[in-house]
Amino acid sequence: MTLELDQVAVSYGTTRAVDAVSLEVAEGDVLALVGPSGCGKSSLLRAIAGLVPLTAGTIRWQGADITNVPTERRDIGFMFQDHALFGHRTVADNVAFGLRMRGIGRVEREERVAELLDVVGLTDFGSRSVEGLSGGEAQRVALARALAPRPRLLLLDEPLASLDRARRDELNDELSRVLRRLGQTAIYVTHDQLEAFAIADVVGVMTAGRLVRTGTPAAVWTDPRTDFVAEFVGHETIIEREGQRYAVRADAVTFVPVVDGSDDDTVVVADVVRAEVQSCQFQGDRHRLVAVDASGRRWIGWVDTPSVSGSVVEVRLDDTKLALLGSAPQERR
Amino acid sequence: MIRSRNAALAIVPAAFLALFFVYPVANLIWRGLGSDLGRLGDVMTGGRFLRIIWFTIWQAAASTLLTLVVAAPLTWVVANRRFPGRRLVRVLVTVPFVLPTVVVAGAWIALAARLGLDEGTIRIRHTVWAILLAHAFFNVAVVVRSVGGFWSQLDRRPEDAARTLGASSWVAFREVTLPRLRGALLAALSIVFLFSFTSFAIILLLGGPRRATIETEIFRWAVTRTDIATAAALSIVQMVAVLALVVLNARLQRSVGGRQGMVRDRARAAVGARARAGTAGSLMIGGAFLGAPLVILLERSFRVGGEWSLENFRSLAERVRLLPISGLDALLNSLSFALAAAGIAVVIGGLGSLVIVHGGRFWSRVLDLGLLLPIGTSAVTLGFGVLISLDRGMLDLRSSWWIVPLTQSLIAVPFVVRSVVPVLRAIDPSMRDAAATLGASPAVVRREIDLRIGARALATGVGFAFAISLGEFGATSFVGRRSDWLTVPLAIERLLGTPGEVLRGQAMALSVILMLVTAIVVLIGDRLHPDGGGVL
Repeated sequence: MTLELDQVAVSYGTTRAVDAVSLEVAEGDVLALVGPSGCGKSSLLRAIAGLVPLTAGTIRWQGADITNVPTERRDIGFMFQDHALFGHRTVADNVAFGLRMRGIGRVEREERVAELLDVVGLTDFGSRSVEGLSGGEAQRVALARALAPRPRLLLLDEPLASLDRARRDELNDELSRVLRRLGQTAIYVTHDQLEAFAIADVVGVMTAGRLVRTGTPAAVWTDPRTDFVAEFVGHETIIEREGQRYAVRADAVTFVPVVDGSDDDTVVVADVVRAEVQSCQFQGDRHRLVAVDASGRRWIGWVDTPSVSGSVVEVRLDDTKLALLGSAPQERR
Repeated sequence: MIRSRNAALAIVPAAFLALFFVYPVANLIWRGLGSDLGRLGDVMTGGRFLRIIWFTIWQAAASTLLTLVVAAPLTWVVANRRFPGRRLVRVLVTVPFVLPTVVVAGAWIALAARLGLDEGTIRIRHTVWAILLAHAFFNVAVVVRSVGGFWSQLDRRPEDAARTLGASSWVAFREVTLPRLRGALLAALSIVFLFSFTSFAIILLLGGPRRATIETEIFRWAVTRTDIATAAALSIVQMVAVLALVVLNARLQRSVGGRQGMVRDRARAAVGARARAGTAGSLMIGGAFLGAPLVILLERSFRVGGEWSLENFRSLAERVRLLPISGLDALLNSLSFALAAAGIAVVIGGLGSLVIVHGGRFWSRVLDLGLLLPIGTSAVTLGFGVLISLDRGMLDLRSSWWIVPLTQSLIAVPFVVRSVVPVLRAIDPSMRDAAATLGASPAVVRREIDLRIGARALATGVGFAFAISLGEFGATSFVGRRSDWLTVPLAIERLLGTPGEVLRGQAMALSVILMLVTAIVVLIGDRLHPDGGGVL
């Protein structure tokens, strides 16, 4: 393993931001750390960068303990939310900064800067001031700046958070492409699970300072293992069956419209639930349908043809697509 | 209707300004230039005067440099470290700045005496070092509060970015933080330079009889030699220099930079023994430099002949031969002058602020500039101008008691305006709109919104005005020359300027009283201010 964290903790005064986190990142992998705001993911990232001191634990890089190595000697790249560009310098000066710190000569520096600006699609921007850049442009400069010294580890702290939806998707794709092409080892922090799934080889879900689940995006989505992770990845409904608790994945649900006038009082077959459609949102290639049954439980799934709010549907579950959470009853939430 | 009412509001502060500032200053320039142009030529070319001008410049530059060195650790720690009592530290550093300059001088005289540095090979009394140290002591607050305040709001991330790109913490500071601090730093240092340039009591008391700056020289020619033409010529030199500095400062203020890349507070708690030692060390260096003179002053005021005693305070009730009235009477004089001056400052500063924020363009501009001008005019020039101008016919105020508070309020009004105007300007216009949609007339809006919010800022400004007039020395030494008007700062100056243990003991006691009153008034005002920033 390239990067290893062992029981890492970070505290600010009496508040514990990161609590006994252990994780590993393999060379060339992109790890996405996700979780709600305030869960400690950014603190963990800053701790890996050496920007905040650890209160416990060790960080190793290829086996060597780097816990007490100062930031500037960790050979990392860091992309900040809101970019943190050096406002009093040009685009090229920003990108060249890390090269200058490493004592690289002017000629080589200029070549590398031009190369990086090409990579991020800002070829002629070198002499511009960073003050007038758009959000997307500033983000590309920040990426070029972080990548210029060829860091062995790239850390990205909500790099797309300040962009609008369309820009975000576009840059997310681009970022993903650049990281793959360079074989760049990276840790990507975001609160958006879709962004994380799109870019990561491995996803780590954090809450309240703890890392509660790691795995490939597919593994985390299909098998969240805890209520928190299930809800975080979008599986809202939890059911009990034969003493076990399951999270209902959206792809496990099929809604069958109940034709008006059919007899509501016929014998109800076990496991068949009827529910009233609450909303049906158009999402381009499909619709997201939310229905509520008599006990007040919400069912969420995808349908091809929309249903009218207030109409009644039959909820059918594909048992193979339920995610086991553990045995019921649980004392946990 | 609205326009005419604004003009009516503007008339009082405008008339005050015209009568007590513009006319005296214009008259002073007229007397300096008009009566005998040769005097100005002598001042500009005479070897003695050039030496004085040169000394004024270099002592101000050296004072500024020393202030920067002394203020650096405190500025850094206040901006970057979170620790218990951080706010208190920001307030306490203000104390030396609000102290009357004669008290600052008294405290350093006390410290020099205590450390045995009055004479001998290592001596600070009557050396330029005493002047520089006292100026640094006085001005630390300017740097700590303005630069520290700005720094504490600078987003850390660009520095963090530099660190991740391979810069050491020192390189990140030099390459990223310092360029961003440059504007605020230069603006603060230009103010420190200005204060040191126009310093009066400290030069007079600590520099000894042979050291003179333009400011003390104006006083000498005007009062000791009664050569008005020469004093006026010197005043012109002083005014030109000060004007240049004020313009420079205004430019630097504008280059401080916008709110981009600003956060609420960048400070973090120190983690680890080394970081904690850094915090504690910085606080101790700053605390020792600012605290020692005041503590020693306090100690000296309770010592008589090597014994602890209240005699210095008790004896204030009796007149010593050097002074025309007793210390206690001087205190009563000072308090009543200060009350009157604060009263005038509320009216002029309050009305002025309202017109600046809400008035028409013309009056707003006029008062905005006009009410801040006295801040950039040396106190000696003001006092001298008033003294030689308000001496005729209906305007003959020289023998009127009111000339003292009027002149003092002239110096205090800019502080009221500086306290109130930013607060009024910061009121969210949508708040006024909301009140209007709820049925409030413009007058009611002004009363319910502006006055409510502005009142606390006004109180801060008035407290400051009271403290300034209580400690005012430069201008009062011209206009308050009648012996029965003797104020505490003038009494302290006389007592300190004459050898003798009883006299010095009384000076220390009066200094302590002045120190406590001004510090308390200003600290309360500081807490009252809506920004928590006050006038600094």
